[in-house]
Amino acid sequence: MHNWVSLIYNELLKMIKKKRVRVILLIVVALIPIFTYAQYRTVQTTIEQLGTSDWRTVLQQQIIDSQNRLSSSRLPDEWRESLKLNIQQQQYYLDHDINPAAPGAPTFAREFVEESVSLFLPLLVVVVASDIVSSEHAGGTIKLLLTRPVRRWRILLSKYLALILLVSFIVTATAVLAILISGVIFGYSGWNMPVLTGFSQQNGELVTDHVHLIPQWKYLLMGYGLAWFACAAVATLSFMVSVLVRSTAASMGVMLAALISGNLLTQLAPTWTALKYLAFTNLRLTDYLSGSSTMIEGMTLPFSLAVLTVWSLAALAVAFTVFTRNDVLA
Amino acid sequence: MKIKGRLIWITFSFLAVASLIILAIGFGLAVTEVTGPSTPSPDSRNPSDTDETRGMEKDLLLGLGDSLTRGTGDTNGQGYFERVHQSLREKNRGISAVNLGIKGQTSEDLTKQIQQDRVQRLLKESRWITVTIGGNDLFRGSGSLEKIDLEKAENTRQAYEKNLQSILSDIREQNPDAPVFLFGLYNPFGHLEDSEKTSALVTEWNQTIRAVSQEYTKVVVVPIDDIFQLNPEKYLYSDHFHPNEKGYAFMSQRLMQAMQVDGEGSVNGG
Repeated sequence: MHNWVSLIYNELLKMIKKKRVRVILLIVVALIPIFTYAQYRTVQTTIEQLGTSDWRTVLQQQIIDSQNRLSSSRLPDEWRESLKLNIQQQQYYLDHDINPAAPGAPTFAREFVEESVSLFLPLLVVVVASDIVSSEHAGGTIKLLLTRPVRRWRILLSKYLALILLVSFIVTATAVLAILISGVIFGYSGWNMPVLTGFSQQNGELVTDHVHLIPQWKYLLMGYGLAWFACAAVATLSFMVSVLVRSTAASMGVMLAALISGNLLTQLAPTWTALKYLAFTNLRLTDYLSGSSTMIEGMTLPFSLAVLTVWSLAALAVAFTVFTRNDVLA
Repeated sequence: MKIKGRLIWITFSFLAVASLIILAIGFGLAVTEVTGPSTPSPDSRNPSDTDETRGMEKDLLLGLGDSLTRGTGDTNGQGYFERVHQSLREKNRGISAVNLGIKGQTSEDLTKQIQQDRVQRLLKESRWITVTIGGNDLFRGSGSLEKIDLEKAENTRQAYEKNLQSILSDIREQNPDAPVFLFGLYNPFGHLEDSEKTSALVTEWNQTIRAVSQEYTKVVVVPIDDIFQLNPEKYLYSDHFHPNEKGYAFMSQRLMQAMQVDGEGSVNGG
């Protein structure tokens, strides 16, 4: 047991002593103020246009605007469906007197995770994860590592566990930074604000039977938990690529391309349902929590989790097989 | 120095482990939340605490009705409503406006829309209310354009009369003071062959509008049929039904005159 702890600790230390982790935290610190400001501008513009800061009026106006957009015949059917669901949800907020966008740092952090779960967070993860094995090849340290009296699979497993720990740290750090930085403008209140969850979709109908309210802090915990799972899956895939490809730049490129095309494909071809079996189209796990409709039909949380798990397990199997059998020459 | 350095890394490792545990708990919660049969939790809201910020809105302009309020046909997308809103805002920045117009809405639809909780609350807060309603009733409920069914048109008109009464009394019930500006109807087909028939219908409906509005206090009928009488093509959009931006500009001028917003800028009435 002690052996395991020191192995993982050793790997973790190697990772965080590289500049990468600090760079990533710096990126987050630099970008969150921009996002905060953007959000602030949006709120201000809405207030400016309507001449009111009453969110009920704003929401009512949004509903009417959506209804008018619905009546346009040029609207594609998928959009029409999701627009309808949106209207129902907004109407529910209105009828139950719940402000969906009460400003405050927790609300910002909630919206931030909903937006960043599919691209921003995974990108950060890819940057740290993709050189985890390949850098040992590049630096030649792989030989030093493998000549130790420790079995190869143990070394790889300790690397993997250390990676998962680091991913957890990055996700938590992003959450903490998002709250701390945005709170400067929005204030730190709103932890107990009720948030609706439990929306589900059946045949394009919004099912509100199970809709109920949870305090926002709990919602945040759950949202970041889901984001963590998505990030862990991305980390696992990057981990495999890092074992297969011996150059860090190449493995990072492969992962970035896969990630971005996964995002693009869902928007370009929402009717191509086979896309839902890809790992990178299933990253938007927080959508199931917030009830925003998914682009592709037939996607549910268990389905997405299953897809991500299968891909991760397959990636691990490949990574371990290759790593334990490969000859290490150069 | 070395010990201090180690301490940082150990703390970091503990932080990482702690965040792993927290996130895993959050993940577990989320999965049970979304998939598990949710327990119907009691509604823990108390609406009273969210209501405290209201009461700031004194000068609300509320638009109700159909595509004319929405501004269909105006290439700027403004319609009469947004024009009036802009002019009012030039005088007083505090004026806000809510446009609840829905394309294709009939008087029947409006009676239902006005029952909504939120709409009623807005009605209470309004300082001016503008309404365009009836065009869709008239031209859908009177048979096709070529063959106007007079009997059918009469039935529709009676239904419209009842709906209009219910709309105005609902508005008055919610807000006894705010003036209601009700636009009259116009004949978009005045330049076509059957113009006598359609014009007669429009006149009859406009009389209904006048008669009904006289039963209520502070309901001002704003006639607009004269604008479109001589040169309908000039002021109609290319769909030959909705006004274009010139038509809307005239409508907004009429409305502002009725609202007694004078050129110098002070806002009277209300």
